[in-house]
Amino acid sequence: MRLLTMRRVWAASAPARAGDLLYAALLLLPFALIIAALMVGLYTISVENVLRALLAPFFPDLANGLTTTELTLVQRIRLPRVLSAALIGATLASTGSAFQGIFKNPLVDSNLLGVTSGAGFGAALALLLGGTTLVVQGFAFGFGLLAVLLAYAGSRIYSTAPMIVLTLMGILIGSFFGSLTSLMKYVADPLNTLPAITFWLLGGLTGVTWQSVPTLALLTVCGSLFLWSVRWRLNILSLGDTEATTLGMNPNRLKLAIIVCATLMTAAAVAVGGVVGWVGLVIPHAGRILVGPDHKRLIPVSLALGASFLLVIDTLSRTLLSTEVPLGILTGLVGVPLLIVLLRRNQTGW
Amino acid sequence: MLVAENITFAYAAGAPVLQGVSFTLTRGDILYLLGRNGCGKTTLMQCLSGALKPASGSVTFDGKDLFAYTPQERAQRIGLIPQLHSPVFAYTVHELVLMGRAPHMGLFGTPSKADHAVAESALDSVGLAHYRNRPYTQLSGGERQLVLIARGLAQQCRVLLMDEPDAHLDLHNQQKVMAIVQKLTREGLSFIITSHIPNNALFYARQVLLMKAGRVLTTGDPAQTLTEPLLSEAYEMDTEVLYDTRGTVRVARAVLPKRWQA
Amino acid sequence: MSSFMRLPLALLLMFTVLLGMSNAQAAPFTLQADETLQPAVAALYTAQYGTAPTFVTTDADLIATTDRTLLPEDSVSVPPHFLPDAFFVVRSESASAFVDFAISPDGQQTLIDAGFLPASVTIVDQVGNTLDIPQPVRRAITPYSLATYVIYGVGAADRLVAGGYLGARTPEGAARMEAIDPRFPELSSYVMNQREINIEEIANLAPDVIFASARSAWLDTVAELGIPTVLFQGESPELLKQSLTLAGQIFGPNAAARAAAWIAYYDRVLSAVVAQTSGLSDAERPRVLVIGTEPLRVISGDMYQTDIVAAAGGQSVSAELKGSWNDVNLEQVVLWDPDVIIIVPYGNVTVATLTDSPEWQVIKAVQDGKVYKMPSWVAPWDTPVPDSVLGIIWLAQKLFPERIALDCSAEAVTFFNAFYGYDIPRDDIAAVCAS
Repeated sequence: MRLLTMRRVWAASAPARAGDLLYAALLLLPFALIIAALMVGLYTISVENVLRALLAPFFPDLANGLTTTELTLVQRIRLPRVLSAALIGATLASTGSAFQGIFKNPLVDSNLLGVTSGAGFGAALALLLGGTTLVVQGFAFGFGLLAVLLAYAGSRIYSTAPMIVLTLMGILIGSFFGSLTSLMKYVADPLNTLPAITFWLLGGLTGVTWQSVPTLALLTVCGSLFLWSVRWRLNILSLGDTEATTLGMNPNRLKLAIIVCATLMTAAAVAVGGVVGWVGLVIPHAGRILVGPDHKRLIPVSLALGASFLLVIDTLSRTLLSTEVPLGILTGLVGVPLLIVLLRRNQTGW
Repeated sequence: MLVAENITFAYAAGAPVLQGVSFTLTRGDILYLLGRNGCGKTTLMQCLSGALKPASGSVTFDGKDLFAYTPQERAQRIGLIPQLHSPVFAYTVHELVLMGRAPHMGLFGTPSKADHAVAESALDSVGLAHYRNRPYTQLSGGERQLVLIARGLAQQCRVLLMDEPDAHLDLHNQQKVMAIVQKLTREGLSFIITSHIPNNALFYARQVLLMKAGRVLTTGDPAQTLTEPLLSEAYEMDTEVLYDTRGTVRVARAVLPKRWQA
Repeated sequence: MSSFMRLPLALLLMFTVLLGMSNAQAAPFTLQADETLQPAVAALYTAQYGTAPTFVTTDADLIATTDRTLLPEDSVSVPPHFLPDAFFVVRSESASAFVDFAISPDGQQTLIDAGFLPASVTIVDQVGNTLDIPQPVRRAITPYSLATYVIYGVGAADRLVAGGYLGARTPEGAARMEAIDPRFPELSSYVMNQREINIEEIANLAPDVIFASARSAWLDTVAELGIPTVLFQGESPELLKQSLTLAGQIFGPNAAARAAAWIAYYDRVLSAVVAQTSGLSDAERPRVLVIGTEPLRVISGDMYQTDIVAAAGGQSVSAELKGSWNDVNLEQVVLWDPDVIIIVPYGNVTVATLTDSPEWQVIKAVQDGKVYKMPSWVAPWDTPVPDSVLGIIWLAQKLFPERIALDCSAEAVTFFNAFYGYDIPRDDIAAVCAS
């Protein structure tokens, strides 16, 4: 019997090696795309110059021969934006995968509990009050968390079926904040505040500077590390509470931890990038088709694929037209057809 | 090994669902829980898996109270094989079996090479090693039951609770699953199985717990418990047990509803 | 005080006269008129005082004439016109009540009844709609806040019953607007703008004319009321001038004269500024970026602000963009590398927003300290309103401090006197221009 098993493993090793290659390639993809995104823009910069500009802070000699414009574009303008795009994409996709896992529903993303709707309202309110970028980001973050907290508090009223009630509460709270956002838009000055709110709600990284990167990076990296470390447990959570319990877990505690983590990450991402839809829905599906549903690989691949997706979308957004195309529009335009194709292909299940 | 003593359980502000349930499960045992819908079988299973805590009475495993074990320790000892289910995500057979290793690793752990080997041999034990890379969701009902048993094996627990393994399965598949179960009892595993088919208890049980309205009507080996009067009382209908008298010993072969005498 | 400021008082007086006085009362002033104008003046006089006037030939308190030589030279202010080209020269305060009556809707009605003015005018608005507008227009609303200032410009603000006021949302703007027109709080209390309007409120206000933006969202709804709606889209100097001309046609001879005077003033300023910079090559013209309510929201080539920049001798770096405000990225700004950045008066962007931002330090305008917030008194000087003439002067001064002979605050005093009938506080406007 032992021998038999060994032979099976051997037989499986050839496709497994191809799978490992694909997996490694996917994980490296965002790094290649970051370099590519730094090259592209209204003004094209060569790979060599991009790398030199990136390394110039550490090796000042490398800056020789670069124009000030090139240095400025790479270091001050493109890099914070490109990093933010990667971080936000990674956040939305990985939290989307985690939420799909714990809610056993492949058609949800981390906005299920209303974090984006709450953040949208917070940002609209701050814009209405004439806040600075930091205030807007702070409000978006705070109200994003508040929305989820309200949904969670609401779900505690009922002791039975907490996940279903939590989902329902999330949808209710999300709609409530959506209405509040509409109210903000209604009372906003159509010449001044309204365009700012509308643009924010469509998502975009136009205004991103180095200022926004540290908080975003900190939350994304810490959150991703947590999701990464529980990635295999997500498999068990996705089987449902009963099975998770009999496999020796406390599903509710871990789910709560994941919700808190994903909410913090998403709130930070939305605070910086505005409402960017579809990433958290589409990327997990693409990831499953590429590496299967095992969260052990799906979470890292979601991080990488989400980062790559938003890098591409954001580069399109800033180069497609002479003006900025809102991210949310492009993610929808690219994401929805992609999702339809993926759903068609993925007929064996999720 | 697993001893239930005088278990009572009631859901909040309700009539007791279990009253004074006692039994002893030994190594290699196959205990069938029989009884009408709502007689308390499922609640009893949950009390045994540690999902519910009895209001009074005790469940002990190797002499130690079940609730004195951590959930993880409990899961290393007792596994549950749910009714036929369809997970949302199309995990491969191997991935699903591997999940049985969860009680043996830390919260942030991922399966090691050794865990993979355990899962492989568990899958081999149920004869499905060639299915390792197939999506679980594409398997037939019988195969899924076997994969879930393999997961229980990978869990390396000593008691497996099976919730209606014969539901949704055709005769062939029921036999296939139960043959594996019987093979595994020879390796020292014990099973507690709920079922609505008394015939299966007749075939496969070493011990039967016949329940009625939260109480144990009778317990013992099938020959003692699966008798016309007891079954009639448990199912609240007239039943008939057909015996095979061709051999030297009279063997019960089938439990049927009593046919109307015209 | 101009005629406009005295209007409320005059109307009150007239009301008393009409109600309380059964017997005719002789005018307290002497009256002189060109022979051709005497019938019209007599009609007005009779309507006001119940008797026919006696015309004198010299030293009159009030002269009705078409002779422009009687006016002070190079004055921007417009004398009160009661017929096209026919105006009053007021030599004594005692005649002012009569003058106010003559240019009021009641005076207009008198002249219509007597056949000196048409009972309706036909105009073509800026989207090409032909409208018949019965005269006189007594009640007008301006849900398009830029049109509000056009109405002020032609001296017809006394006929406004509601309107939007861009730039008057801040406490400072509101206080200034109330100083210009005490009726401002009441007029601006209605919620109306390009996006929304309360149709029942409009019906209740029963305006004779609605002045709206061609881009208003509610035009179809308001069309149901059957009220003539004049559509403006003044995103160029020519269209701005045309919008004043239209307002002049609609509100009668005095407004028409005011419109013509503003256009003359605007053209004079424009040619004076252009003359100073006309010899410049493209390389010598500063490259200007005009940003809006967000640092990265910039003007397009289709917008009036582009014309202001060009008029002031600069060139807009974003002239290639189309449509309305465009959202661009910082990379685009770096590549434009403007010499000067102008921030519009409204919105929360300040000079410090840019100068404090590390990302903007690479832009030439920021390095050279040439980031300016365009000032405004009430109406923003970058938008197509009569006040934009001051924006051109201010910008030209910023771009060419040595070349431009015009002085922003001196011109502002002239402008506000002539077109708002408001004596703007000298110190305050000097501070505004210097900002």
